[in-house]
Amino acid sequence: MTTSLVVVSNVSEASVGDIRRTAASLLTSSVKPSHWLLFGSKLEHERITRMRTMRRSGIVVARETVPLPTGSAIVFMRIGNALLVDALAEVGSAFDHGAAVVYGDSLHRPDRRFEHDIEVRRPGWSPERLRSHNYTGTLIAARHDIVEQAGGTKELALSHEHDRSLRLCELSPPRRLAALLYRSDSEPLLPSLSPPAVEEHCRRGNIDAECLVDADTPTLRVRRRVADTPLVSVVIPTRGTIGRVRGREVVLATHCLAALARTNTYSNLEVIVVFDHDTPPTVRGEIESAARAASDMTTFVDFDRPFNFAEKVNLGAAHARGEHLLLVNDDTEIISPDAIATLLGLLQDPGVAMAGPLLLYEDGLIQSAGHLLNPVPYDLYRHRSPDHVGAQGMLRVQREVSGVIAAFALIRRSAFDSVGGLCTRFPSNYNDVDFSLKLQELGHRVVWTPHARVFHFESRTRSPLLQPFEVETIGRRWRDRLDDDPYSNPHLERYVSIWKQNVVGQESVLVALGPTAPIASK
Amino acid sequence: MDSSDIEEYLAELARRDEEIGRRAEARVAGIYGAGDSLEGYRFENSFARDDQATHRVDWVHQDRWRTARFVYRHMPRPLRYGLKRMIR
Repeated sequence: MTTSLVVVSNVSEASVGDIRRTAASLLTSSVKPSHWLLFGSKLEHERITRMRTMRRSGIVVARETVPLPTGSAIVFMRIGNALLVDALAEVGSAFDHGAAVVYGDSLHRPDRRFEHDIEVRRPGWSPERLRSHNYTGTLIAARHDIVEQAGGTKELALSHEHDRSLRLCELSPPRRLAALLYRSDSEPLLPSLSPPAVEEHCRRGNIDAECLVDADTPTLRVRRRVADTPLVSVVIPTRGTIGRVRGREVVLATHCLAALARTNTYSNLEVIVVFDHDTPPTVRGEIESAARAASDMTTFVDFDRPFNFAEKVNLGAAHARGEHLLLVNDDTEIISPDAIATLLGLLQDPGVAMAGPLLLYEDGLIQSAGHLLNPVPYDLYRHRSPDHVGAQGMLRVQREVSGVIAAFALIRRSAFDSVGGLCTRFPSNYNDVDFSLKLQELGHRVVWTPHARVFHFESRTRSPLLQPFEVETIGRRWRDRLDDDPYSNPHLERYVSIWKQNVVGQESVLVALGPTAPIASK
Repeated sequence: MDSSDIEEYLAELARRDEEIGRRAEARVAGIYGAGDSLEGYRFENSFARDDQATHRVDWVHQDRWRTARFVYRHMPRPLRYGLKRMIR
């Protein structure tokens, strides 16, 4: 390892016990830092910092900024936490391999005795999520020059952890190390939040948004203002299926359009309905009336080929005039009046090409909170209650995901065209998984938000069975992405749809569902 | 847009999709080998809600483990913790 590491802590409110714990971990670390800088140190702390083992360790302990070696990296950590033995070796190796900013996973002491430590496994770089809470944890390391650009070692050491992460990550996208770096006895499992830091971050990045703090969990919603009201083209493929919704037989497309007309508050909409050739004429008339009630601009398109959802959507898109496409399945029902405006707000970020809402089943349980490739595509927190906050509060924050369901998704038109629309090799399933991965292949991001809610009465209009050729095609194209989802973590339990550490036992399920989960559903 | 424009637009979409797909397939073939399949992956057969609801994360509390669970919980503590550590 060539990078020398400097550990920095704010000790202004630390007890001697806190300093002792951190000092002991530095002494047992497999790679020693060159310096340990303590800001706000008091005389009583010297009982630890001047003890013989520390003096002989070769670690320079300083109370303020000292000249640091060139090419060094600064590791900011909360005092009282203990570095794990190989943590600095992992961090140093990441810097040797070109990383500029680094964060990783952590261990936390459980509330109850006789339980194992709880692992907090973190996803890869997710800028939208970092605006909502400090999901990167309290240990973050950065190259010395990046730290100087972000305000200097002292200012960052004394600032809030969220502020520090935001400032460092603005300058260079961080690298997530999928390795346990520290153990904490006191840090809560839910990430911390600093609303002033987020407001300041928005000002620095010219993000025109209002910051709304959640009343229940330490999370914040950055609601971007939409400057004008661009035309949104709603594409609804349908075959006029009649289904049962809340005990009543309805034409699903009519029900969907009626909800859009009744609930939605975004006005500049164009509705394009793509009819299958076998749509009954009476049903078709009913759907057309509902479409006209939902929007002044309507287009009705006939699709006369065998069922292929992707082809129908592409055909609808061909008739669209808007800068944004809203793909809507006919078995959905909008819940949040501002759902379209919320999704449009997310697309104000030029890097985001697709945004999706929280989809709920008819009985109110979650149908999808974004995709998780684990290693086959899962809908995160499927069948769980939306009252759960999820592991690390992930169900309360908008965040980058590997994909969202195309049942209700807003897409930038230019991005849709650039990736070639939905792949027609997936007539029923996985066309949305493939589409999301194609967007990411071209450098776009896909964001999921819990602040827009939509019912999805799933698979009422098509066969729910997965076809072998769909599996084969998704594997041939994206097997590397299935094995390594950047917004997942390789140490999670595989083949489950919750964010759960890979250990046996009930405790890990409780942690995956979040601390506010109702007892009955646990 | 008239029908020829639409045909042209759809053909262009298909061409771009094919291009990205080919690039992705070449990358995957480079990593895993050209003839590799997804045999070891456990894909769900059905997306229907009832089929998926049967999946249980909490196997420990299933009834068939009741006796084994009783025995385990009444073991001497060192033995129990040893077993627990081994399972982890």
